[in-house]
Amino acid sequence: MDLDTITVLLSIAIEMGTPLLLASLGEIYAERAGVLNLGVEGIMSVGAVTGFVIAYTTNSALLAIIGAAVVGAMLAAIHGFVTVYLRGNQIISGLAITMMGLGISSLIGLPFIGEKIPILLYEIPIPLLADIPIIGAFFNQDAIVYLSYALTVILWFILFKTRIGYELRAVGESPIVADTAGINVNLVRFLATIFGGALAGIGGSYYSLVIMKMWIENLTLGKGWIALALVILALWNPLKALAGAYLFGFIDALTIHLQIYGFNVYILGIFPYAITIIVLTLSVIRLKGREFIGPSALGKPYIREEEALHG
Amino acid sequence: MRIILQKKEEEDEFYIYMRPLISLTISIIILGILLIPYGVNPVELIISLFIEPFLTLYGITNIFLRTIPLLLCGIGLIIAFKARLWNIGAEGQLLMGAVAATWVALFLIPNGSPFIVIPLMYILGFLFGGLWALLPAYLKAKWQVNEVLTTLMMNYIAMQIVYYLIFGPWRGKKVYNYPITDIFPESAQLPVISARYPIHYTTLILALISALGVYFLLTRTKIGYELKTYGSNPEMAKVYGISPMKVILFSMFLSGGLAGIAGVGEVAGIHHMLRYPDKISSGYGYTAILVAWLANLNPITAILSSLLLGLLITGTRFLQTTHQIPFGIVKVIIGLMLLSLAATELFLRYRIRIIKEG
Amino acid sequence: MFALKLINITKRFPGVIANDHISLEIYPGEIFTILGENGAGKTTLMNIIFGIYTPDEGEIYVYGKKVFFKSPKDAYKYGIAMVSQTPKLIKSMSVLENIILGLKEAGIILPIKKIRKKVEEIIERYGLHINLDAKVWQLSASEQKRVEILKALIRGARILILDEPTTSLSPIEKRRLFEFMRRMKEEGNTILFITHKLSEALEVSDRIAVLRKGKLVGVVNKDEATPDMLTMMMFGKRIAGFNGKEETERKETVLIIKDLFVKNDMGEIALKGISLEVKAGEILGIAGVAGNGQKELIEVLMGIRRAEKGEILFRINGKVEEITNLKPKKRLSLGFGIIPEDRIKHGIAPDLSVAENLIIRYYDRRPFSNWILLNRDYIMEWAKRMIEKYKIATPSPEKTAKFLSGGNIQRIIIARELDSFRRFIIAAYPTFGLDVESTRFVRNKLLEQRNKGAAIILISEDLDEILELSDRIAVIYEGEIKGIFDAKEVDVEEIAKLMIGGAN
Repeated sequence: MDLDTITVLLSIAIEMGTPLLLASLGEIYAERAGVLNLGVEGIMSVGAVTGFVIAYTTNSALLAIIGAAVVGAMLAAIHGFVTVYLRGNQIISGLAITMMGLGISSLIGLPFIGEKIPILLYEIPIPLLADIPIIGAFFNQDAIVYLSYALTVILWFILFKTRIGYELRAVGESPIVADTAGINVNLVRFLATIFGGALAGIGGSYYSLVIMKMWIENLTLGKGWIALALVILALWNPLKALAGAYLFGFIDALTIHLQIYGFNVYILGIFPYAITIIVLTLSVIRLKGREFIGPSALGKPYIREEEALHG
Repeated sequence: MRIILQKKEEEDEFYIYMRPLISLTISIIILGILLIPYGVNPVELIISLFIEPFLTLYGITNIFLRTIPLLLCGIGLIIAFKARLWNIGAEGQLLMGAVAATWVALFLIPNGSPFIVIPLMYILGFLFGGLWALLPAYLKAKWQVNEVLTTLMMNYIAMQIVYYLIFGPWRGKKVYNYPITDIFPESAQLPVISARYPIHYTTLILALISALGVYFLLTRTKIGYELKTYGSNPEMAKVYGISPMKVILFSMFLSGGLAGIAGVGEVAGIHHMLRYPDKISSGYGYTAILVAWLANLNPITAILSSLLLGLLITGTRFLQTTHQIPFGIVKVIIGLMLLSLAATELFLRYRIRIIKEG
Repeated sequence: MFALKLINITKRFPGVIANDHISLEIYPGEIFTILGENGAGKTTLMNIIFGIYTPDEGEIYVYGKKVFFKSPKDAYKYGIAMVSQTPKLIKSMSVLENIILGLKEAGIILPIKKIRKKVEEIIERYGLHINLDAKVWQLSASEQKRVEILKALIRGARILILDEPTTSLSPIEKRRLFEFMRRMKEEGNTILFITHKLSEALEVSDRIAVLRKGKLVGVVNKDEATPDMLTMMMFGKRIAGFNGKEETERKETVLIIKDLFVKNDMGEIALKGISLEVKAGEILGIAGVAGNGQKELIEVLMGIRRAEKGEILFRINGKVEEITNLKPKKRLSLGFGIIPEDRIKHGIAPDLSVAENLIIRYYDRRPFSNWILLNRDYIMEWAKRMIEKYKIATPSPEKTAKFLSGGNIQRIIIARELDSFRRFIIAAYPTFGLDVESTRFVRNKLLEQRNKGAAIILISEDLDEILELSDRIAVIYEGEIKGIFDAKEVDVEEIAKLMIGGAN
């Protein structure tokens, strides 16, 4: 394996990891506010088809991305409304959104099966940095990837260093405390969920716009779930999510690469999922005895009257 | 103005029974709206979904054919959900049951008597499905690993295994290179009611027995009691000697096993071969989640909810042929119903009050 | 001009009128006490004033202006703040972060020096010293209260509601709190002091309003108030003292804890080599401020927490056995009875029926079950008997347990744990939050077991309860036993001192 191959593999890893990164960044915000969104898989799917259809008809990557974000946000808004305002069970609502999302995307995508779109996003190499062996791969990517780098840092900063991020974390740690401090718990949760959906939508669109550039059934095939696992693995920290996303991207890249050596494609296809299980188990074991094991109020609806009753 | 939630005195019994109907109504209404661009008017919708299936042999057969795996998976999920285990892996467990049946039929005893082959298919299907659920179960019991994600991953792994088998070592010799196995020998084909109603009744009987059995399990047995107690308060259950490991492994194994039997039914009762995973199960494992919750986690009521969903799915097929609506719409319906269940949960215990200022 | 005026405040909950047309006038610069037993409606009223609840009827005026609070945010705007009974703080964050949570002045990027200075000024002014950078989970109960108070003060509170603020405080810390209250009063602020303890009301109030069963019974000036009068107002009758303890012959030692070391959830040593003995027929009361190792002691005795070092010995049938790491279930079969600290969390399975909850100790033995089947008929019959005997208010044994009130849930637990003779009982905060009748019931049941020869460890924050029920009293502080006394000869002052480490 020579330097070039490694660089190419790394490049593919970054490419494959970007949708995961975007989706998990969004989900980190939602979960930090206390909302578990199992609908990410469906949202990514809808984002993918929306992006594809818009790109197909307008040839504009920008419109496609915006469209995907909007649609993702809309689906997430439904989940947000049901779980935050109607206090519905977050797991059931999330699964419902995924099903609806998968159904809708197959509906919308039906007439486009097999259709292709041209390359709309080009790699923009950063002078000098792009030439460094191996690491150069990071600097020879398209606009969305650069956006994801920026988002990672910005979102990390907001979450840990600003008042807004702090209030968001407070909502996810202890909604009743946040409530008595005057924070609008429901609004924060709702907005965080929508934000998560928008990012997941963009992440999904990356599959159809860049990675595949065509539409087929089941485009996302479980990547949404991996993004969810990634959030746990990253300990709800955007910077760690970056590392994890590229790790999984690398596994994907490796899976493709190893086919060259004659390994059966289906057996190889098991690896991402198997490794997700292994990694999930390891990270949970690692969590024991740690201070932060996830936002304390994750998954639980907040009802003010009831909480106050139990004092 | 202020909107507050006020607790009700006790759980609204009437509402508990009405909720499934409310959920169904809301979903149908929204569906009707979504289908307007496809040129379907509401009356046609209702007829297609609820009446047409009863009018043809094909329709009635289909209702039952779909109800069988839904009921089996649904019962299995009820067990898991009662123990607070989110088994989203019924789909994969079903597939592994199908794999088991295929193995028995084509490779283990290809020339046996049906009296041996068929029971063996069911038994191994149960085992394979159960074992498939055991890994996520163990991880949850030992290290509290999130079972939603692990069971889901197992689904995808199961699909890959099926792909591997049908494209690889189990590819049929006499099937012109299609990605399917050979047809099952007659002895491995489940008996059906008749040629006009090709319903594999053995699986149906098993499904009904398991509904009764699980009801009995949950209300009359010690292990059922332990299961419910653990699901309700895991901490306390431990104090009183209930072993989480035992409960989790037992419920997940049983849950997966029932889904495995459903897989046997599909592959040995309908297709008589192993083929693409999404042809074997059109999402039964996920739809069964709705079956379970619609039935309020009651195994007897699940018979009704699985019938309802069998009807809905069949009706949607009709909609597909008459109005060219893609099958993806089924997922949307199921999703809508689940969503409206989640959305209406609140009203079981709370009412909304609007307080005007001053 | 009054600071706060309530007119006809009414609030209903399912099945109960928590506040029944309450009207009050409270003036600036006074300590106004609301006195009433648990369940009288005090906290509900405070939640209404603070904006957590909306009244069904009635009006509120603050300094002459009519107000309508949609949330605590509105209450803050009018200078009202509340320190609730259980700390409302985020444990994983620092003191300063908790104080400034939700404050607009905190700026965009934290933490800001300006705000920190403001907080430090307030600390100096009121003498509420605390380490701003410590994480809340590291603080003691008294320190956490200080943080809550600072939270209120930084928002410019002029009407400060203190709901049962002396909970978890040792007598010395209590005194410090009262000094702070007086200081606030001197500055022209109003204190709304909520308590169920007569002595406290008499000690610190300017005026006392008594609530009983949701209604306002009356308001008295401190000069006119006497214990008898207040008792009469609170209960409508005189309360006799609890059944005196019979002298029992304390026989042999039943439970021995030797040099026990136990870790807490954070991995730190919570119990540092404690040694205790309990005899048959005695109640050993463990006095101490919550958070000094009681939780770990309860859990290691229950068998759900491991001991790092040391032993627990249990005498059974004349022999002494080591049970340090024995499974909880086995301890139950040895005759342990457990009244857990958190009723809902450890005491019942909320989704199961009352009957199913009652049998959890016995479900796998005859005649409750037979091999793998439960004996439904016997279970129902037995449950009905228990419901009647322990006056559990439920329409049927099949009712789902989570719908019952706290008092009835405790009755289920008592019925389950104390119906038969138990050799050893762990009673953790058994009467917390219960009304007077249920409290008396529980205490009598414990005494009953004691008189039959049970060895009981009683853990309670209520020093009065410990003094009343215990035969011997041990003080726990920072994971160590600081002294064991005979209840008849005990000096309350000394216990008070030991509870906070013997410091002055």
